[in-house]
Amino acid sequence: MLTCADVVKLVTQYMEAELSPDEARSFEEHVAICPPCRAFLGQARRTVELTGELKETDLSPEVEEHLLDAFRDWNRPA
Amino acid sequence: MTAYAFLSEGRTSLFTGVVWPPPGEWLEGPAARATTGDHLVSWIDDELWVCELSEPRSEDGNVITAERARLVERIATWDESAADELSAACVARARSHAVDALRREGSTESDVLSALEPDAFASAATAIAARLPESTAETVLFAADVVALARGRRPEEYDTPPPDPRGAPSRASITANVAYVTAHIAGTVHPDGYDAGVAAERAWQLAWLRERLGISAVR
Repeated sequence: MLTCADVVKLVTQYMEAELSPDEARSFEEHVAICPPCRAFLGQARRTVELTGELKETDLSPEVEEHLLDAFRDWNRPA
Repeated sequence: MTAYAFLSEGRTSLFTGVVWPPPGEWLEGPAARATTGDHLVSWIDDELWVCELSEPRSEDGNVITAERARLVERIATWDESAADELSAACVARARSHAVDALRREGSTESDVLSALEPDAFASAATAIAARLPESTAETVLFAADVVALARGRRPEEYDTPPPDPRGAPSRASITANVAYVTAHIAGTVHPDGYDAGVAAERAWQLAWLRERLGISAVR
């Protein structure tokens, strides 16, 4: 049985059907018996739905520049 | 083929988020999956439906998938009351497993624990566990945790004010959790080992569910 931390790590791969059948089954068996992970999966799915609806034109120039700044610095060695 | 589908509120698949169409209309795609009457306790959720699966089908452990599936009828006897009853039965079973483990060790605490109501049991468990060997203490504490989990609370939150009902887990999802933890407890104390204990407890839960819901053992 997976742990809650495993579910958090695997949720993107699960939603994109990238897990093996056994991994997917283990993921589902945990989610089925864990109320917080059920909520987490629902939130992750909703986040993907909402961000998928965003268009480039939905962003103001200020927000776009802010996001680009953030991603330019993301993962940059200190 | 007739099978069963546990779904979240509003005919919604827990895993895909897909809303099944009304009874009689076919659903296609990865959400077209169900389970047999032998594996109901693995997938407890808000709504239980009898469904029909098209050919070809693929059965893998406790899941059956098909190209198409459709709901036939909802099993109305599975509702919040039934979920709460199963939770309460599991709370009693968890305590019974703890008491039995104490008796096997000849502990005098078994009589004290067996006489307590769930709330009193949960309150007394920590003090009693402190006087027990580690393995038995863990069983007693797990059984106490089940009392809190059955209320939708984490064990460490047992004595705190009730949570905000908005966004609270459904009664059925709480039952799924309680049933799983109770099976885990049964596994830790079973004389034939963990897997035998879990299997025996899941079989008991399935029998309870079938009897309560009037579902025959036949698929």
